[in-house]
Amino acid sequence: MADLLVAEGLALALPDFSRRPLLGAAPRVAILRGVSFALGRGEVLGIVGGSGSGKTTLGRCLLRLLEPTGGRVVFDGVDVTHLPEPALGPFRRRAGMVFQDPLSALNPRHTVRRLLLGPVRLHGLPEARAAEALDMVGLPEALMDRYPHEISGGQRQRVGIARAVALRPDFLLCDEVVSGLDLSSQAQVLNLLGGLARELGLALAFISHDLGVVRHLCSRVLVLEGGVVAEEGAVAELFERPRSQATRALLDAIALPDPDQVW
Amino acid sequence: MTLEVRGLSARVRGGGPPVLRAVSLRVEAGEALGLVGESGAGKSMVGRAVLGILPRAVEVTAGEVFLDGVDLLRLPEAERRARVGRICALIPQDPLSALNPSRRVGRQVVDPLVEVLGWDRARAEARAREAFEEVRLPDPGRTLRAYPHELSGGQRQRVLIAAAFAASPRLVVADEPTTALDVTVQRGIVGLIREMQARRGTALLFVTHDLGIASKVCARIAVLYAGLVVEESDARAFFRGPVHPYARALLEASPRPDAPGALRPVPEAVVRAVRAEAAAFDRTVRHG
Repeated sequence: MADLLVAEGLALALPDFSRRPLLGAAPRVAILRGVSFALGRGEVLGIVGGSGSGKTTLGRCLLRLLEPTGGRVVFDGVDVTHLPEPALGPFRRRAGMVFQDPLSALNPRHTVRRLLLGPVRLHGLPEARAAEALDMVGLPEALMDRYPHEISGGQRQRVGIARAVALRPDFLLCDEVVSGLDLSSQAQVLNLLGGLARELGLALAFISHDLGVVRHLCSRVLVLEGGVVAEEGAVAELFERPRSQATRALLDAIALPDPDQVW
Repeated sequence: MTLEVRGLSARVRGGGPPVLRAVSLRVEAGEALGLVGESGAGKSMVGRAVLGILPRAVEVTAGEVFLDGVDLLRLPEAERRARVGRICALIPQDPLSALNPSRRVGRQVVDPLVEVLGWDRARAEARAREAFEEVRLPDPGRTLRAYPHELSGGQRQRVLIAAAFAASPRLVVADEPTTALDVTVQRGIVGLIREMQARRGTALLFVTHDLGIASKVCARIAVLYAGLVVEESDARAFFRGPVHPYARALLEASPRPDAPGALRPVPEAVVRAVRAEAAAFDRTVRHG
């Protein structure tokens, strides 16, 4: 079976305006330096790394929120690397995103209903999808007329997920979607994402700085460091036999709720 | 006993909702007490009430805060501030917003020693330099003259730890000191706080939402929900199995990469029960 999403030698260099000389162009700083991987249908991939390792930038290139300066992104056989925005329509419906902070990602002046209907109408889909999506993320219909500030953080993040799954995508990028949540909401959202991936055959790329959380959700992990893939492998394998320094550093960073763990 | 909080209650001014509900805690010299709970549980509010830096909208309605045997809440404002400034310190969550971006970090460590403690500048400068060495900042002489933006997040937090411990305070309140940092530097910062605290025998009130980190720092753990301490116990006993159903559910909701599987969110029934506990507390207060 062909892979759903393939990244080949993705590179991105941006001008560094803080070091721009008086005359001439700003020097370029390389953020991604050739990242390659493939994601199968229904596969749940963790993308981990420390701050500045390029994980968010990689995610933004995958969704074509940024245009890579090198390499290719192929989605279901179509090269989307340099497609102009108008030609990206079908891709935009099939590849969605959930953001870190739902409070800033959701318009505070829109009700949950309007937030869900927005993307559904934009793509000309039946409006019943909105209610369906709310149900899929386990939220009651009664929340439809609430505003983002009137619901809890965990519920807000589930609205963010509902907005994405309302379009019935094949791929969802989740960028640090649980890092702002309490333990209980974090557990709920992780279980929800795992369930959606299984039931809808949704492929997930789950960006996180926390390998401990990744262990609960993902089957495979990509470890980034300095814009390159430091290590890639099955999550259990990576925990048992880390091969790179970057992976070991992230494993060492995990603090188990256990006073006897040497840390 | 360095810090003893008795029946501390606070609420939003003007008859607003309760923020703390008769919180009682004790922290001895050299001991670290972890205040854990979800957002809005009131863990930061306890630390802020002790230091007298509650948000303007929140007022203390009852209770006592004994610091070295003196009830801070009974002292006149100026005296309380002077006393707290002399023997307490805060390690904040976000080192970038806690530092003045337009002043060299050395000045920001030295000035409080001079202005609050009345040290002469030469002594304060020597102490700051020692403190920078102690927290293992690279090239202390140069780092003292750096501006906050020239340092990494971990280095900035080291500066604030140096500042907090510089005058060997009796009590340090650390409010989510690693939450804003990169995961790979958290361990170093936690180790450093532990080391500084042990060396000086400081009483430490460690506020965190991260049970993993609390288990590395604290000898005792207090779990808050809705401003209510639902459980306070020895850390070893706590991590082996909390007694209160909410505390147990919270621990069970924590990621366990050593035992992966589906996570268990706090059950709805447990949340309802602990909310009922808070409501029952409010009724007893209202009816005396």
